[in-house]
Order: sequence, then structure tokens, then C-alpha cells
Amino acid sequence: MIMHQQHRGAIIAPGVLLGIGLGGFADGIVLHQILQWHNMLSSTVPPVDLVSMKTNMLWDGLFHAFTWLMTVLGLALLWRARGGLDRAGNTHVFGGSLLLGWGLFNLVEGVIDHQILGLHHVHPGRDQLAWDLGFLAFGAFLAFTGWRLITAGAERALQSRREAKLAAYVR
Amino acid sequence: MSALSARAPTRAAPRILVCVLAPAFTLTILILERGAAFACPDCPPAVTARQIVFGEDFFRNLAAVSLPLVILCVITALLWRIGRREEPT
Repeated sequence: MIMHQQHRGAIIAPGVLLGIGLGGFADGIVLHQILQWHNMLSSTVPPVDLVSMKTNMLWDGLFHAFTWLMTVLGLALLWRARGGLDRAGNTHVFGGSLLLGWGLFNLVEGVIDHQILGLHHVHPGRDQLAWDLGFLAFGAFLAFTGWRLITAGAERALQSRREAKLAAYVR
Repeated sequence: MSALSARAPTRAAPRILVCVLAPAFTLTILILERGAAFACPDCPPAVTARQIVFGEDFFRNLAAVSLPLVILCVITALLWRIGRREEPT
């Protein structure tokens, strides 16, 4: 029987990908569709008539397709790592990775799409910069919390290994 | 050690993250667009989609929309590598 030890990246990567996918879906479902604050290209192609709305709808669809691919990839990697999920500390590591992924999505999407390329803004209008900065701050908070959880999980795993080694030594 | 973890994560995974997503996605869009046009060439959704896909801004917009997600794939691949260098779980 072939056996190997899984590295922590095998747990973090699927968690981050799933976090990115779920964060993207949250953005698309809540901000694009339910609240209708913005669409994917609403700053470059303002949705003022049916044709421009359909254009934005198509690009929203492509954005959702991207996030769907991320989610599928995350699930595939999670399936490969399933044997190591129940070890000490890995619940924290995986949960933290989900939060880290969502936070990274907000940070990268916020900086590139909102600030650099100006494809759209979170809530266009007079206070759009404040909304954009709030979006980034929320992302930074999620990423920081996720990173702390991953670190806590890693420490817990280390502690568990030390205890196991000590127990084996005593025996 | 669980027998379920028998399959080792390969070095190919980070490369797949970065290299496969974008081409596969572009191909999927083109297949979907062609499929819609084939099913109903004169329906307004197919005509609009065709105009967008074959419009001059399509690849520029595709690059703009996919850029953050490609960067996120690269970051994930880096996290994978950093995790591999640490102690195994």
C-alpha cells in the first residue's frame, strides 16, 4: 500500500479556491443581481438600454462561469486531499483557507477591476470611492481572519504531533 | 496514515491552475456562442451574443474580466508551494 504524508498546501489550496468561488458567487448574486448596484462592465458600458444591459448580462455570465470553474477546481483538489482532512488542526486550516480565498477575491478584484481598470464600482455615484474602500477593507478583514485561523490550525497540528511523539516515547 | 491519502499531490497541479483555465474558458465561450447561433441564428440573444463575441472589444474585455481570476490562481499556486515546504500535516 502506498502511503505518504500530505503537506498543508494540499488543504489550503482547495480551501482558497472554494473561498474565491463562493466569494465571487456572493458578489455576483448579491451585488449584481439582487441589489443591482453594478454589473461587470457597468462603468465602461453603462446599462442604460436593452442592448447594453444584455452586453453586461453576458459579461456577468462569463464572470460567474469563471467563479464556477474556480469552485469545481477547488472541489477536485479537496477530493484529492480528503484523506488528510480529519487530522488535528485541519478544520481550522480549511475554514481559514475559505475565508482567505474570499478575502483575496475581494482584494484582487477590488484593486484591479474597481481601482486600476475601472470596469465597475461597488455602488456607483457620489460616494463610490467610500464603497470601494469598504469592499477592500472587508476583503482585508476576511483575509486576515483566515490567515490567523490557518496559523492557529498549524499550531494545533504541531502540538498534536508533539503529544503523539511524547506518548510513543513514554511507551 | 490513512490509505485514502494514497495519491500524492503532483507538481502539475499549480501549472494546471494557471495554464488550463484561461484557454478552456475561451474555448467554452466560443463553443457556446456557436451552439446558440446554430440553434437559432436569428434569435435576438444569439445575434447579441455573436456581436459581443466577434466585436472588436471582446478579447480586451475577456482579458480584463479574467485578469483578477488568473492572478488569484497564481496566488493559490504560490500558497500550495509554500504549504509544501512546511511540515506535512
